[in-house]
Amino acid sequence: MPQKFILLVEDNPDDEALTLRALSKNKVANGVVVARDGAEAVDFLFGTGAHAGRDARDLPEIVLLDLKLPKLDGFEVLRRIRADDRTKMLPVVVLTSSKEERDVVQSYRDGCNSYVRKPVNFDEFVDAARQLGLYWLLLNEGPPR
Amino acid sequence: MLSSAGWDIWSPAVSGNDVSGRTIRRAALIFVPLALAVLGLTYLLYAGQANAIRSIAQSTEDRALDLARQRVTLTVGSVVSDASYLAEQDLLQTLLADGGTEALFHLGSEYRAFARHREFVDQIRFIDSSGREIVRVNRKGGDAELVPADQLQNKADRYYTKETLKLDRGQAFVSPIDLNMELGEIEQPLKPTIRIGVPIFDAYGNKRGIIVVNYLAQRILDRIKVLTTGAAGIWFVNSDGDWLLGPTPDDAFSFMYPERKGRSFANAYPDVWRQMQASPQSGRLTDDTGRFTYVRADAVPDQTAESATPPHWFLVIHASDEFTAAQTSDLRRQFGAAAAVLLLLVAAVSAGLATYQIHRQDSERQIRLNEARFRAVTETASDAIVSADRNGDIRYFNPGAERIFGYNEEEAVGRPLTLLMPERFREAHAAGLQRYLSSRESKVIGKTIELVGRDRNGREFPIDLALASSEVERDIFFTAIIRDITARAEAERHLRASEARFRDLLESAPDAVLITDDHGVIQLVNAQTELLFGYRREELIGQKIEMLIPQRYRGNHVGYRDGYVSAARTRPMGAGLELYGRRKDGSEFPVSIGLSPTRTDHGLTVFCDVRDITDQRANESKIQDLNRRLQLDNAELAAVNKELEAFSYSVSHDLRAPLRAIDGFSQALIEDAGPLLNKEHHSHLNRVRQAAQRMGLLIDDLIKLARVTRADVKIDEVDLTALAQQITTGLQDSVPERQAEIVVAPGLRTKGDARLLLVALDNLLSNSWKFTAPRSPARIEFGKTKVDGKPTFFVRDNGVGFDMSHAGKMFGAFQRFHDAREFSGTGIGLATVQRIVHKHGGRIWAESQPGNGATFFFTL
Repeated sequence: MPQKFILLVEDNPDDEALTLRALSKNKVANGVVVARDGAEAVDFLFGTGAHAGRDARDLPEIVLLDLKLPKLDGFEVLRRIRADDRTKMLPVVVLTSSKEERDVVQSYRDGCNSYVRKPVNFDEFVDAARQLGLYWLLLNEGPPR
Repeated sequence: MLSSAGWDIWSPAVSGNDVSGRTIRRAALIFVPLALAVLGLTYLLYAGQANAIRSIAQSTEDRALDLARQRVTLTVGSVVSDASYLAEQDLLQTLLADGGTEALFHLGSEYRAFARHREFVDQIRFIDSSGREIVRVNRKGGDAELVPADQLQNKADRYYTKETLKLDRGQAFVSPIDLNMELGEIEQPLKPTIRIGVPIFDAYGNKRGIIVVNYLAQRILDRIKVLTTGAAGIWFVNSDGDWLLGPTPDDAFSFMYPERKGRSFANAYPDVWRQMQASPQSGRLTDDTGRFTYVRADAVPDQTAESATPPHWFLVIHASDEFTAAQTSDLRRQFGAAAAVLLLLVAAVSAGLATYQIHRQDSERQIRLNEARFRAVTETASDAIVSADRNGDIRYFNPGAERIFGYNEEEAVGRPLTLLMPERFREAHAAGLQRYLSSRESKVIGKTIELVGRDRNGREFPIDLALASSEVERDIFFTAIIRDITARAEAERHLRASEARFRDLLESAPDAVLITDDHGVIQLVNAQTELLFGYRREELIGQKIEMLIPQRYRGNHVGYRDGYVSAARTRPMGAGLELYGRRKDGSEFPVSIGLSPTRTDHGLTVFCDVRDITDQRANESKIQDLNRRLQLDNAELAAVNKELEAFSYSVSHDLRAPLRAIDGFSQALIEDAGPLLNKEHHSHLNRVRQAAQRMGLLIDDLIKLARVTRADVKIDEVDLTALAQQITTGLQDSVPERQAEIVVAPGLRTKGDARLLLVALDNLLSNSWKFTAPRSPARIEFGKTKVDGKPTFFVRDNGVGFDMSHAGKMFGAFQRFHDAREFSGTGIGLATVQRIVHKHGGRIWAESQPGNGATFFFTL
């Protein structure tokens, strides 16, 4: 049985580093796969492009998805995940800087499971990461594989 | 009768209906029966004549047929007699007794002699009872020759031999008429032949043979032919219906020729033939080809043949329809011509008679009409009509005169005209009358003059008098038409007064008023017109209105003016256009013009009200400028709003990421390099982190402010009490240990945007909560009062308050009155509240004293 893992979709290296740091502080850093733009995230999930040959049935427990991304933005990635039978039940948490109403509305409309704003305060960020890990990796019962 | 006046009936005005139409109808009424009578009479005469002609023709035909029948019968009868004579000749008896050659020779000579004298006998033969020819004589040219004994033939098989041998004494056989055949061919030239046979008895009564005489039937045919009457020939038809004499030579004897078989009378006229068989003696028949008259001719009329039926023939005259019609065609032509001439005559007479009658009718009607009209006019005239004779005595006094002067007709007639005038004029009247009678000169005859009348009650009143004289057969009549003009005189006085009022009104009008006729010629102007346009009144009157219009509009204006005249109504001129007037000095100024038409006896009059709108126009253009600017501003505002939205979106995403990095990596440094850093280093890194976090808050608040600024206001019924309670409950829950007395007035409702009002109240109440922190118990109140008569909400607290000298600045963004270490905050909250209040069209202000709490008032 494959290892449980998280897919983090994040283009900003600072945010990537901080997110990984926040996750590792909560002992959930092992098993984080990082995709640095929307296209790579899609390729990873469906085993196409640079990730051709990857077993697309091996899905993450959760996708942490930034909205502002190069190539494909977060909404588009979310829509593709929801449009495909293999991934349409995959839990997706939008993790982004903004809490503009239209971003929130659009994310839920496209089918995200949760919307979390990255706090400026790193202590709060660490707390958020802790709660996310606790909830999605331990508490939450994911869709059947 | 037909005087020139009488011809007036032709003018439609007088007769009033279609004279020529009536004349034609009347003429037709006379003409039709007369014409029918003429036509009837002519026809009767013609029919009588035609009948006579027909019966003459018929009796002629009858006679011709009778004659023909007699000729046939007599001719056949004479041949029979000849044959009978030859049968009983002594010489023949001698021959029968002796049988000697000499007797035979004698008999031949006798027959030759006989044949020579009977030029139509062709053959004479003695045939014995065995059928052998004993003696035969043939005609040859004008002579006859005896046939030698060796050329004689046996004729026992011939029908005439057989038939004749059957006969008794005194009987004769007559053959039908046919063409003689010689050696099996029809002999040429044609030789129509009839054969007569008679039996021969000897002295002992024994039948010994027969005599056969061939007779040239051409003679019979010729004798019938000469009887032909007119164009209708006599046809000779045998008992089989064959023509022996027919319409053409080719029709005759067709039965002898195989190629003409069937060409017979019986076939040509089968119906007629059938009826002739039914009634054979004589008759007259018709079919669709014409009339047939026929008689039967028997070969031997009185013979009662026992063994052989003697032949019979029909003699027929066929008068074809064309032939019959031709007989009467001349007659028809003559009668037709006569009838036409008669009809023309009748038509002329009818036209004359009708014209005369219509003229007379119309003249009489005209006279009656004139009389009635005269009555109608004089009886209904509202004017007095009075006639007088040469003595000046009243002869006619109409109802109008009765009404005006108060006398009735019986009273007035016979009295002098002076009755109707005041005393002082009577003498002059009498003198004038006398002068006119002697010299035919008058100052008043034929004119209308104003005079004074006097009625029965002695009242005097102004009158119009028109006087005419007429001479009929040397007698003079005067006719006066008198009108009481009291009312008119009164009306004129009124008119003058109202005209004066009108002028006063016109002159005092604040606008220029002009009156033009329907050609745009100025009739009248007021004083204001002179002032406005700089012309004097006399320079304008009689001129075209276009002189007051700038040159460039004059051409079109003439057309507009004509258009207005054709559909005139009260309306402003040139709707939607800018109109300009032109002063005498050539300067122009904007005007508004009202037009209103009045119909008068002299055509259309147009009132033009002209107002100088220079000032009004200036104001309008100012308003337009402002409007334009406002529109531009609005567009600019929309663009700015859009930019602001894009900006704040970008801010909310991108500005926070670096802050997060600053804060995060500072913390990482503290954590990872902690033991290497001294206390001061820690403090610096913590300040970096605080600054970054504070900037995060500032960005959030700025975004909120921007959101409020560009938000649309959605007006609804809002329960402010409920909103305030929700907020204060949240505040109290955030710090449960604080002693706070929070009073929210019940039932505060307003119209506004619920979300924005929630933000405003949240800011105000949170401020109060923050600045009452040092107080225990804190007191916060939300309620409603009236300021300057306007409902006003307020939030009051017993907090630290502020210095009113800074009150003007406190609603600007980033304005803070307190030390950040004492009270946190970004200084954006009140700016947001003010924005929201302004968006609702309200006002916000504050009252406070440092240390004594603050009150924020706002209206919505």
